[in-house]
Amino acid sequence: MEKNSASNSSFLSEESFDSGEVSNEISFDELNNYYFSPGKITWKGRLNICSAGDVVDHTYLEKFKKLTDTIPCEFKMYSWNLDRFSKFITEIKEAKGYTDRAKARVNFLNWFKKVYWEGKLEGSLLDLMESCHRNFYNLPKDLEEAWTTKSIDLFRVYSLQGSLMVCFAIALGYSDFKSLKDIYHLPFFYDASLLDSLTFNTVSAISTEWEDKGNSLSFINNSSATANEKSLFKAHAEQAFKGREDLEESFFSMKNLAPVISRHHERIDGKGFPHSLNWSELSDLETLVIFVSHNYGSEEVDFDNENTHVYLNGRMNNEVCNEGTLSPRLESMIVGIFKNLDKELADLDLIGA
Amino acid sequence: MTKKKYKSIYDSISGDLEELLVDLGLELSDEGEQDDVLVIGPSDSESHLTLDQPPSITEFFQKKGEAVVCPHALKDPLFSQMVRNVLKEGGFINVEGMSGGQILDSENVKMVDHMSVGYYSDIISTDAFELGFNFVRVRNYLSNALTYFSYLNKGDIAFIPVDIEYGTNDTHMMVQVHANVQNFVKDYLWESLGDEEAKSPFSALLKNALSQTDFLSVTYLKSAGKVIFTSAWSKKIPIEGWFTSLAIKDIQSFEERKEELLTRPRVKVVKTTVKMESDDLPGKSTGLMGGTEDNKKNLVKIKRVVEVIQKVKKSEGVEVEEVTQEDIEAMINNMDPEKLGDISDDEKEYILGAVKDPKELNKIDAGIDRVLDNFEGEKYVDLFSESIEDLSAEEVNTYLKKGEGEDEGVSEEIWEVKKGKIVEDLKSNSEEIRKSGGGRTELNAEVLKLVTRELEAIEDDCAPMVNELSDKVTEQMISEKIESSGGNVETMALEHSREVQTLQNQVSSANERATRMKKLIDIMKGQIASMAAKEKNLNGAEGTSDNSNSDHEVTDLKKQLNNALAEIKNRDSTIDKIRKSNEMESGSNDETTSAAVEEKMQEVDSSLENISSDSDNIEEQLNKKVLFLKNALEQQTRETKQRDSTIQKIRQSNEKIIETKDKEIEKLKNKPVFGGPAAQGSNAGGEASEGESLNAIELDEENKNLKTQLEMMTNRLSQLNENMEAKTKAATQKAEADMLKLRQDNQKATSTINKLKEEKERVNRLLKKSQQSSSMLEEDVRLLKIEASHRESEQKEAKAAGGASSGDAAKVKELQNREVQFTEKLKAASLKIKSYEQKIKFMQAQVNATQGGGQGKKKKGPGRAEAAGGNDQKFQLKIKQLETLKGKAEEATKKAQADLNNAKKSNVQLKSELNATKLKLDEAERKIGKKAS
Repeated sequence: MEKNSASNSSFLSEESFDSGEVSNEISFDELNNYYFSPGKITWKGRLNICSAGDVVDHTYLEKFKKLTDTIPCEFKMYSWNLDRFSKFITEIKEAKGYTDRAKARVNFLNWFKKVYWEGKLEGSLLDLMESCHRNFYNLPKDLEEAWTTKSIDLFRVYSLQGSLMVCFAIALGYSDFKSLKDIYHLPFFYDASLLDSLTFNTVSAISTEWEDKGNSLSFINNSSATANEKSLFKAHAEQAFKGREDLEESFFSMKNLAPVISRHHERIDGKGFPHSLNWSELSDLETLVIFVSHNYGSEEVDFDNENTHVYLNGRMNNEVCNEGTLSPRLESMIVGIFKNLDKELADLDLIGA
Repeated sequence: MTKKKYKSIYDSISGDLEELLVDLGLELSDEGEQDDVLVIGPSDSESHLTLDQPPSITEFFQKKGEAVVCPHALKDPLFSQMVRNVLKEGGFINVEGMSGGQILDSENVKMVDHMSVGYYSDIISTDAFELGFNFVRVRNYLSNALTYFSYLNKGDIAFIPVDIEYGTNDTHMMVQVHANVQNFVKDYLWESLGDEEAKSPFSALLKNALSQTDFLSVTYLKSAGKVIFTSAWSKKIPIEGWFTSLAIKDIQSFEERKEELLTRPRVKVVKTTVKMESDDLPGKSTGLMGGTEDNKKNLVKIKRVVEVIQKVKKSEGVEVEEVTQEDIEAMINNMDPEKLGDISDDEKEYILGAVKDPKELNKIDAGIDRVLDNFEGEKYVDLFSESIEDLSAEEVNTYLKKGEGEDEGVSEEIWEVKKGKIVEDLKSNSEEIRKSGGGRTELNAEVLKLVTRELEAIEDDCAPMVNELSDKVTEQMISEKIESSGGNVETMALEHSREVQTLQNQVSSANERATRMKKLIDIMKGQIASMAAKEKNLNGAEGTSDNSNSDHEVTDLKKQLNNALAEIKNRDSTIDKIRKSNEMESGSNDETTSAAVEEKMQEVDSSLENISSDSDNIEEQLNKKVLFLKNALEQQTRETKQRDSTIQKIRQSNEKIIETKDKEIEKLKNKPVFGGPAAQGSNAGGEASEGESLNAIELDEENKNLKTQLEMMTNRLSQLNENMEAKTKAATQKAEADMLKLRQDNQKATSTINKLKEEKERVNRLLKKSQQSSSMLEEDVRLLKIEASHRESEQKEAKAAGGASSGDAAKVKELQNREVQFTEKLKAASLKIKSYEQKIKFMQAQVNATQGGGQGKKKKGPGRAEAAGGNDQKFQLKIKQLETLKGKAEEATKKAQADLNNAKKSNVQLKSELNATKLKLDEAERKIGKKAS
């Protein structure tokens, strides 16, 4: 399939007005709306200000703003997808009854399927990240500051994981806004207990343990980490709210999410930690946590790769990547929902009629 | 029940039971203490099972009972599998595993709040109806079971989401409900197996649920912290002698876990919860640990009382753990009843717990925040400011314990000035704090800072005053909120946040569109300006342009412009409507957010006004510059059409590819998959020979796993193939590109060689011509020499005969001198010719070398693209060198040609002179002959 291009396909926008925003430049006013950079932004073609998906440092941009109104940007984000996403989430949020909510959910999935699951329409991971950030993000300031200061890459990973969690959770049947908001924020708490003592070894261990398909904790055990680092890492999964106990009660709408968070290093084959659970002991949300964290936990995400559907459904079909992390039940549910979506749409239309 | 009666029941199914036990590798142990209880398995893990309805289910299960099984159920494949699960296999969080593979297709729903119980019950019971099951029983069961989970959720024992999975086969339906739980004990079941109580629906929920199903199995997965309710229905249950079977697996009683539970802090969380729940359930949850009714209005008051008691007891040197209920009562009685208001017994009990556990204060804060879900910072600041302004100097001194003895404290006049300053600074600083996401705590800290600064006191002295003011303000806000929402805090907060979000989204969307329009117009303005400049130039050269032919286009463009302006107006009016509805809806609900929305509206308005004024200017400019704009629009249209057609092609191509892929995927999907019909078949075989059913199931499982692996391998293979194809394609494209480049290089080299050859031939021709001319000259010189020598001999003879005239002899001498000079010139020309020959030889060598290099490249082929790229540079350099040489050679040739021409001219002159000399010589000879004669 021919590679999509964000920069030259903007005229595909359904609304004629949208073509007005198509250019290879972005105004600083517009950039203020973005939390993640919509593309590669350069100054005079020499200085790379930020790459696609970077957290935009608006303070840093101020000095450029004084010199010019617009700045070159190689767009990797599709603005109309952001609008669409927000529209669907508003529909979910404002649905007055369960049938309306179910319809909003199916409408969302129908769009998601075309763009991000099948790649029939253009879209990128950045759309999902920015959209979810705009619609769900509400992390306490101190926690945000701690993550962005200590490991901006991990913060971005959590943001991506949260976005994918939301999309897959909607596919699994979650259609309540508050629950989706909670689900979005789960990854930000995976390793929150390590924040105060974040070291090179623990940061490496966080993503490497996810990527490692061997025995759990093998990386940290064989690393040069100190005994203290090792013990902290081994205990961190169950201490999501350590030092932030009040957040568990006040921040989340759903109660007792600590056990769900603690599953992020479990594996469906029972080789994870801390409890070595297998898939028959895990709920769908927990298996989703495991799948997303293990498969989308790399700090190096290629946001320039616009074949998002390969990154999503391709990962489900790749048994080398998802070995021990994708429960057959979760796979059949998610694949099944996209396969039978037309039927579900027809059923809902029937109910509506 | 008599032993005899029970024996008859046992005898009726003994064969089935024995078969099942053998299958599981278990056996009946000695009879238990009761006549109607079967003890199964080894002594260290024995299971107590009864085949009759015990007089008291609760009592049976409290005495080690694990299952009450209807004897008929053991003859049913699905129910016997459920018994098998209880006795041996444990629990599975999926219908397929729980049914032992008898039910393969299942659906899932997630329940996230108890208000959706009916919705989900209806969905599942509708499916049950369509498949011929007793949907009323299914619906009643679900309604009760899900409500039971909702009450457990209320008591912080079970947690949402509650996962519901249901599946059917031809004869059975199975529903599995599971949720994460903490500290789940059997006692929670007994509490809901009682009689119905009007005030407490929880008391009979499980009893009602049990009566609506054929088999209920409750399993607890301790490591995963989950409780699973699996219920099943059969279309073929006998009318007589049937009762619902109940199995409870791996759940301890409160007594068994008492020590563990009471030492864990989680129990306290349950016991003292202050969280607000939307759409609260009536009555208590389980009374064992939870069940404390929330008291929303008194949160602030309770917090203050707790803080005061803690402080007093600390000052008395009493540890908070030692505080008793009586102490609390006594202290509350000593407090000012006007300020304190009514404190219920439940609240007093809660206060005791909170005094002893410092963490409880955090939870109260969390509770307060939940009530003030969307913290209204501006209102909070206003109320806080009012409270500070209402504060007298005397009250301040009381708080600060000043004005006693020598310390005079702050005077009324000074306080007037200081509080004005505090309020002013608070209002100016608070905006920044709120913008940066600060809430109540941050604002309180700011007030404390300001008060401390103005009073020149230390923070610890000012803190009580600020905390008390903060509590008052919070209390006031909560009570206002509760009153305005008719008492339903959560609903109000929910509605409010929903409305605000909607308005914000609408405003944001309108704003974005306005910005986009403005940008479009800016672009158009830029185009117009540039076109205007062009037109000006044109007019300068050609005079006034003739627009008579473009009247029609003018009309069209005006129409387009009017449409654009109408669109702007429409958007304007839409935004007005939004603003009006915002004003109507928000009203007094939330001044802070309304102000924020109003501000945004104003921004939108101003941006739209700008757009409108810009549009007026554009209209004027458009009228003037319409011809140019038309061209620009036509160009844009053409470009857009081209882009559209390109994209259409891309889309069509993409769709074709996707169709092909879909077909492939469909083919793969149609292959037997994990849990497919093949697995069913194997299981049916297992039924035929129940003695081997365990092995059959294992084989079945293995078979499924292998099929899954096969499917995954197939998918992987196809993906690898795709990758390989892509890679091969990329490599081929690269090779082709390299080949093309080489061909182009080769063509260049060949053309250069041809040019050089042509040049060489031309030089050769010139050379030959020069050589011919040279040889002719030589011949002429030779002849001239012979003639001259001949003349010389004749002159000698003539001299000898009579003496020649002296004038003629001088002429002859002069001619001879010229001849010598001419000969020298000829020699020089010959030398030049030789040097040209050398150059030509060199050029020939270069041409040969170039030809050799080109052939070498051809031989290298596409596999050496990089090396070829290296040679290419060298080759280019050589060509440049050759071109330079060629230029020099051409120059030299031209020079040689010019020299030759000069030589020829000299030659012709020389010849003419020679002829003249010859004539003169002839004449001189004749004269000499005449004289001689």
